Amino acid sequence: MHSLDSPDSVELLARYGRVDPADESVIGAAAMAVLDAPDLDRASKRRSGRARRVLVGAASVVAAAALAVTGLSLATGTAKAPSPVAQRQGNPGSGTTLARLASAVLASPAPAGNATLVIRSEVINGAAQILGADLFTDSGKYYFAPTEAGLPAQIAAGNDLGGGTFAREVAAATQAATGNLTTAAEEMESAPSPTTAAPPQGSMLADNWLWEDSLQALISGAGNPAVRAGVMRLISLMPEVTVTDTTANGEPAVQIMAAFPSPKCTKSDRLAEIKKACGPPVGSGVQEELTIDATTGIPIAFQGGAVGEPPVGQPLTYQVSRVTLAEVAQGRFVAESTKSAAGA
Amino acid sequence: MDGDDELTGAADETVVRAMAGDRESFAELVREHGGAVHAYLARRAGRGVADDLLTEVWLRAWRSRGTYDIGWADPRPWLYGIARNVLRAYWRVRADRRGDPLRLAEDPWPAVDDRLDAGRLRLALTAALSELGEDYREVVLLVAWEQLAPAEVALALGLPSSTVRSRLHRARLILQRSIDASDLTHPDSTYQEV
Repeated sequence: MHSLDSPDSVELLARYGRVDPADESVIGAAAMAVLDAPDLDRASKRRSGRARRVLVGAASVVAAAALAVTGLSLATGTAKAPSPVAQRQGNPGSGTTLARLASAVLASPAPAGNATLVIRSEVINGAAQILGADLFTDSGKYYFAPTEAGLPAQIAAGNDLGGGTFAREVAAATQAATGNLTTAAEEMESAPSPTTAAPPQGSMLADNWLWEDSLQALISGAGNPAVRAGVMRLISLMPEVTVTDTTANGEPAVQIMAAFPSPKCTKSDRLAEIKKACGPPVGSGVQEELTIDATTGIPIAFQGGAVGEPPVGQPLTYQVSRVTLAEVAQGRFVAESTKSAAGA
Repeated sequence: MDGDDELTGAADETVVRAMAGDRESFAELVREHGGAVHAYLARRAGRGVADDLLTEVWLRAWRSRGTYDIGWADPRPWLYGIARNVLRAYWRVRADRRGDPLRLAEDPWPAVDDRLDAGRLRLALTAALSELGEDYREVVLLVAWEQLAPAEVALALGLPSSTVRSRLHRARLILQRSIDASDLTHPDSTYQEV
């Protein structure tokens, strides 16, 4: 059985990726080749007129976020020790909305059934494709199959993935629902790799970690109101977040947008040509949008792209339902809400 | 604290200069990121091949600098994308020499497999990675080995970040299942690091 202290699968894999550093002479030869390379002609120097699909800025943010995702320790020393004085400033506007939603979700009655089924899908080449079926039981077990049809076999085989993958993220979210929010935020940031020093709270770097890990907790613990409420409270701390009322499938929904812009060219101001190349400090960086149910906080869709630009590609959608483990084990996928409606 | 200040490094200026055509700055990029690109190649094709291909990657990068968007503060995802194409071209030639099927040309997995050391965990990981398929495997390897974030992987592979996120999610689960099934994280179990 996987435990909370066990290394993540990706972290284990990373240990097999260690290679000896390149000889200086090899890198030097490459540098010399660039210095001696023929110059570009004017035509090839122009930028492509085609719109960018994804723009990524804020290198430190995303590089550090990789650690948050993978649970890797940072050998290159980018991570910084936590600052004892830095604190999150919160988000007085959208944060208040999220905090109110968190309270409502937490006060909602206990859900029916004893497990949550999450079907993830995406429209690829014009057709909706299921990318994975996750079954999270209230007792902490977790079964995964490429489609829901594969879940009964996973249950029968006892392939429980619970307790390891994303368990720390879910635990941090649960703590955030009713416990100390600052402590919960710190634990969420370091959930993938508790031994990796987190950046100072209040920095965009820390918020990016918090956002990425909170999303993982929300997806993994979507059936648990405490997890959803905790995630709402955690995200409410982030000034990078904007909340907008919207609709999804005809029902009220909330769109949570987190924008992490790339660095401005402030350090290049003295260089006119560079200033020109940088252009306005918009249209770059990472922007991700999560749509949730306005009443339950259950995730509905996710999409990402560049700051200030429309999302790229089709959204990743989540179909979340409460089910009974015993029924799923028998290949019956009847949502508890459907049963209630039928009985009403 | 100003998050932008924290995230803005001296390298930003170097990147902008380099992509604007300043050779000295581009050579500085080679010196700064050459090790990372070499490691990318070495992990997938071995150190000798990495030595051979590194210069080709940087020459292609120099020729392709017009495609670099100045909003990308970190050039590594872009460089990995170029390195991936160079590696694929290398494998295509090698496959032709071997008379090997196209699968090898499209998927350099056999070489990656060779890079992993022996041991029970290695067997479990290689089996799981093989099961993933190339599309999923490259996502998880860019995260595990190159330490890229999903958004950076999206840039390197030219995929929507939502696709990368879902592929990574699935890949992690399959890997975890294989490891759990082999009980290799038990204290009595051992694995050998490369």
